Amino acid sequence: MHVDYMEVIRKRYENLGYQAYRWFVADDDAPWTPLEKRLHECKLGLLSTSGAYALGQVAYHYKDDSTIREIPSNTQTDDLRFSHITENYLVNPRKDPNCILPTETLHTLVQKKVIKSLANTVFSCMGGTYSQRRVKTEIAPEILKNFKRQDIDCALLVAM
Amino acid sequence: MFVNYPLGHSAGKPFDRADQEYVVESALNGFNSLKKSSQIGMIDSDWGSTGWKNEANSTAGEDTRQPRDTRPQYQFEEDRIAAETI
Repeated sequence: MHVDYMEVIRKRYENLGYQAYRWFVADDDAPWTPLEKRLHECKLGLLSTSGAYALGQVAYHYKDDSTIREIPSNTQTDDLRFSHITENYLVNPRKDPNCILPTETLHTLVQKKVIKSLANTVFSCMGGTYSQRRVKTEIAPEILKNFKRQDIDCALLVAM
Repeated sequence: MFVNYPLGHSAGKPFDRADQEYVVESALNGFNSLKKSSQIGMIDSDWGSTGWKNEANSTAGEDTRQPRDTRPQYQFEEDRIAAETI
């Protein structure tokens, strides 16, 4: 059995008496950009949409928060926190952040020479943003700007 | 790349380092195996139990999301104190 997430959410909204859920429909296919280096030669960037923040940083709020957090990739997992409008999916990530923000996993893959390096800073946002406009005009451009600043070769997006 | 795990586990099972490495390395291998935009690759990992799929497929019940509050929602009160004292 598979989960038909898009149809399930449409029906769930309908059953709750909400306005019809409008999934994002892109105007065009995303431009295809093949990786120019071999993976083990690449510096990797990381974005998690899980609402991760580090101890000492401001947490996310639940109403279309479009801010991002820059988290040092060597942050101890005991100092990682989460706030996200769908708190019910954070039970295990709060026990083991690597479920959704795999910094320790990626450091291991560096040691195993699967990738060359992980950027010194990884990014997170609160993916439960219901404003398509804010995602397109605020979050995505800000993430792209920060990735370019890091001079990475490729980036892994871990969606929640 | 898609792994058929419950939401919140896109990078692997909690405290299962072997599974986490497999899932994340498989995702990274998508840089080589995927050949066009919009293509989705499947990661051949199995969560094990299937009860979560019944819950995920349910279209009934309450809205489980949090109220759309504009105040920072700290995991712990100590996080608020740490953030406000820096």
